[in-house]
Amino acid sequence: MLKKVFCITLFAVLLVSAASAKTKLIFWEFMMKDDTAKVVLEEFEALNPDIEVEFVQLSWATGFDKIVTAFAANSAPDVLELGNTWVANFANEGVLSDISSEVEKYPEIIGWNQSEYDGKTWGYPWLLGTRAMYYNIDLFIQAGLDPENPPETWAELIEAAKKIDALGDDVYGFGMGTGEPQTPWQEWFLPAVWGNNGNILSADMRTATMDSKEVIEAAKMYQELSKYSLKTKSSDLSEVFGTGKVGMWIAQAGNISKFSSTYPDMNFMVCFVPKPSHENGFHASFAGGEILTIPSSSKNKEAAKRLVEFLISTNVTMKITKRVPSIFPSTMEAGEDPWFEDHTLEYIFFEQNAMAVPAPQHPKWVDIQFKLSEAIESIVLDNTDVESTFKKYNTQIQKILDEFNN
Amino acid sequence: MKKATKNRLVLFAFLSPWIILFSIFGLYPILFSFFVSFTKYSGLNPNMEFVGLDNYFKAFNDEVFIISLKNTLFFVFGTIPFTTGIALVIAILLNNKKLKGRNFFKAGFFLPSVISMVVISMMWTYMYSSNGLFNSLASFMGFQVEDRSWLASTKTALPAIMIMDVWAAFGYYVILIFAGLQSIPEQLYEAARIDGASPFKISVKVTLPLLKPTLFFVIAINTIRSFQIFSEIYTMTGGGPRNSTQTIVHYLYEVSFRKFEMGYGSAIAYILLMIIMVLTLIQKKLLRSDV
Repeated sequence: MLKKVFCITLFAVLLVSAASAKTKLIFWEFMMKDDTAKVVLEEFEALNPDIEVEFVQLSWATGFDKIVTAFAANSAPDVLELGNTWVANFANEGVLSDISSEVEKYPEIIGWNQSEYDGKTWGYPWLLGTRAMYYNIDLFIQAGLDPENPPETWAELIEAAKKIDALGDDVYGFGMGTGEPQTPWQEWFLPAVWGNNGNILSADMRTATMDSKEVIEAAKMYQELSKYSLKTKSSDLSEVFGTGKVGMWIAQAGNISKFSSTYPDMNFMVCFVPKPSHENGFHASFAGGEILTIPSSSKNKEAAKRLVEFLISTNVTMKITKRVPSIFPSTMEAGEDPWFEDHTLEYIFFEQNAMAVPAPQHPKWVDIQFKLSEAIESIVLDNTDVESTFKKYNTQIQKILDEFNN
Repeated sequence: MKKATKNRLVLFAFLSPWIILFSIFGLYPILFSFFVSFTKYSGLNPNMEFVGLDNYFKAFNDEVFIISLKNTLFFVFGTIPFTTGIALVIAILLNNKKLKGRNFFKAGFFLPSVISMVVISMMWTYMYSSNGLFNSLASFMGFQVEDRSWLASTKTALPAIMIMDVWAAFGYYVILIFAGLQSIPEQLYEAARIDGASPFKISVKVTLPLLKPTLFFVIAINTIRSFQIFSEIYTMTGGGPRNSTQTIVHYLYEVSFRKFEMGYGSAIAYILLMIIMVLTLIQKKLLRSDV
């Protein structure tokens, strides 16, 4: 008798716990700090009582390696944040879910081109961060320039850099990122090419176009600008700009709060990245985007989509922007948020996002970007001839493309 | 059961934790990466294509690999004489029993060895930065310096990392050589002194020959460690600018974990193994102890 009661109770307990079992989602991300994530995910769980989210914050120093090893060990999470330059690579390896059919559901989202590869869409643009141009107001006044009208074109930029550079041996017209794998092309050579309506790969991404007219024009401008520039790593540029020794610098929005707190006496403003001329081109900048992806190994894809839908809503992304004001929502309606009224410099970055261009979504972009950075450092650090240098690297990039295509 | 069999079983039982762990975390990866070095394999999915020796041939036609090989050799041969030389001189000085505060100096020289290499790299990155210690010192002494990090120039980046590495490494070798010096019997020195040998002659004829096994060990360990330089490069420069600080291990990491070419990465690892093996054998021959 006792045995029977025990069995029935056990069965009932199992039945109840099975009925109330929550779907457990694993979510890996970089952008939300612990406290933000806690607030956001608690809200999600309250709205979706059948889902439980286990969240892991990745660091930029080790996150990429962790993601690679997770894919290799087939233990990827259900929702994964990826930098936009990584998406094509993982998509090409077949480890991400194709979410092309979802795009129509979100007409308010911009930046879908950041997660496209091979005619399909592999992730949801979540947060967009771009670069704009910082300039030192005091140095502008000392050099006889009008801080109300910062340079809008390449010619105006070089002219301004020249005048500021002439102020003294330890004053530099422009801050040019070198000595790191990404900064040489992100801040700012490749966006200058895009602004000049060019690119370093053809539209079908099968041909290298480093020797095209648009690229060479941008390279010559960049080499000329380098004569009046401090060429060093971005952490140094931030420090030297902060101490008031650099006139202009193209960088991320995170520096606004850094300068205000660390160098409160330095007067600076932010403007759009210069374009080739008043008549031609546009104010292109590098689009750094955070993409939410659903790895193909996930067993909870429907629940994962619900989490993503919640995370990309303006309500959530603005919460993140307010806590991490270097990255902005992927929805244009976020611009109406009253927070931007008190954060006018951040609003310039938000507007610059509309002109931001992502790096070509090629699976071999990592290889290509190393070559591109080498070419740029060659012309600005060693002052090598632009045409022959870019021709040499064009051949090397073409080799990478050919090897991939064969 | 026979006693001998039982003993063997007990022996095996005691050894088995190590054997199991080594097989899983040591032997298997070594054999697997050797196999992978003959394939095209991304590591992200199970697709593997056998390509024979292609990855090995590819390395010697790869400009960046050749640069990284040259940089690594420059690093190895540029740092070892300094780390070993400085360590040897300091160890001999510390061996003088009349020296006051010997333990203090020993601890002081050894201190960098207990700090993580990543922390050291971060410290030195700050010291090499635009407004860092070295640039500030140079401008204080009246030199005209550009506000550029030492790590952002193709000319200074690798030597800057080498200087840091000598500073960080020599203390460990001081302790090793010091231990070697302590093991030389005092009677030999006494005998030499009675025979009228000068302190210099004693160093050359007694100390150095008897120190040969220790020196061989120090140089071999130093060579292997220097060939494997990675965390400094990863933390400080990422191989740049323009591959001027690209080293073999950093490049194989980039190839495997950034470009997802695990097959090629494994081939580079095996080439490195061969280089280190050959060099260690040469060193062994040159520093053979005749005593």
